[in-house]
Amino acid sequence: MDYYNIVISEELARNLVLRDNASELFNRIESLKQKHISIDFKGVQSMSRSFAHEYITRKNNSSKCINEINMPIELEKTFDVVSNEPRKKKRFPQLENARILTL
Amino acid sequence: MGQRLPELVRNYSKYSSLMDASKQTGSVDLSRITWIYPTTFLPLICEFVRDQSLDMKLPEDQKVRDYISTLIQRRPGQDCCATYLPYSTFPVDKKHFDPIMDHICNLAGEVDKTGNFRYILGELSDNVYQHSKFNFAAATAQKYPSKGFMEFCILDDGITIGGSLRDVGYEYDDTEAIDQALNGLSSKISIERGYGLGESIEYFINEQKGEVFIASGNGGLYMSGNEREPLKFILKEKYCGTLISARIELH
Repeated sequence: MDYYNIVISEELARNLVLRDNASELFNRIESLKQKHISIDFKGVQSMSRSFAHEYITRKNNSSKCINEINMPIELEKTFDVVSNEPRKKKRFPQLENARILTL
Repeated sequence: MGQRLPELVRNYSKYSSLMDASKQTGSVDLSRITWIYPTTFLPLICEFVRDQSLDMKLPEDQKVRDYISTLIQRRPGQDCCATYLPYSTFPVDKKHFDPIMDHICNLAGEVDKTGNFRYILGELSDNVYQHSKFNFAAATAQKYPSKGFMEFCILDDGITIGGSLRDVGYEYDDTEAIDQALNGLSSKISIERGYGLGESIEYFINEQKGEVFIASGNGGLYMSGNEREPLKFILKEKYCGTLISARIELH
């Protein structure tokens, strides 16, 4: 099977932070001839939720078959959290009764 | 008589007072400053970038004067800065953002045992790019080993949290807009959006047992992982952008 390999830390950055970067990555992926794409996460130090969310959203809508290799455990957890987002509840209910001061 | 405001809030207030006084003289008077924290220093830098005609009276205290000169003149990566980071501006071209992350996280060092500080910094940085429409954005940090904390500040000169929400039809004033954003409201349509800011604040106050102050437009908010009550603020002087400051304990 003809896989096209992308080492994401070299393609983008070691810190996968910006949502737009994930979007640009998939724009590039969609432009490739190959159907099967392998994303190598070796060398990645961190990934933001924003990046992970955009990655998952674009992957789910992609015309390619994408698989990930060398995924650090911390990043797997971030993907899990983003994929299974609970319904939003008020994170800071204590703010409702906070005093309002003029500064 | 009320409880004294937290120092993080007073640091912001000091910046605000300095700018207010400069309206009369055209000069920011730091002559009597004996100590300056990132939450005072970084928004001042933003003002000087925005208004090149603004003058500064340097501190009379030589140590403080040298410190400020170093912060302004040194660039991240120059020399070995063990306890502070010269302010780092966010490149408009996102491709060049990665080194900035490394510099700030290297300073965090022992604070970031779990790697979560890097994660949170990523979230806050992406918020700047996604929402603010900034011309100038920057971050800085300073460790105070003898005092036992690190103070971190990130800011932009963009459309504010309230402005970002009002752009898509949410009619909240600036103070309430910060509350709403922390609790998940986003200017982006997707229901999966709106987690980054709240999660970041939760990290600072819960995981790190630290403090956070946010100023955006005419709104402000303070929260702490210690005993102190949360506070909301109406800022008499509008902050033209968004500033987020945090203090984290050094262990």
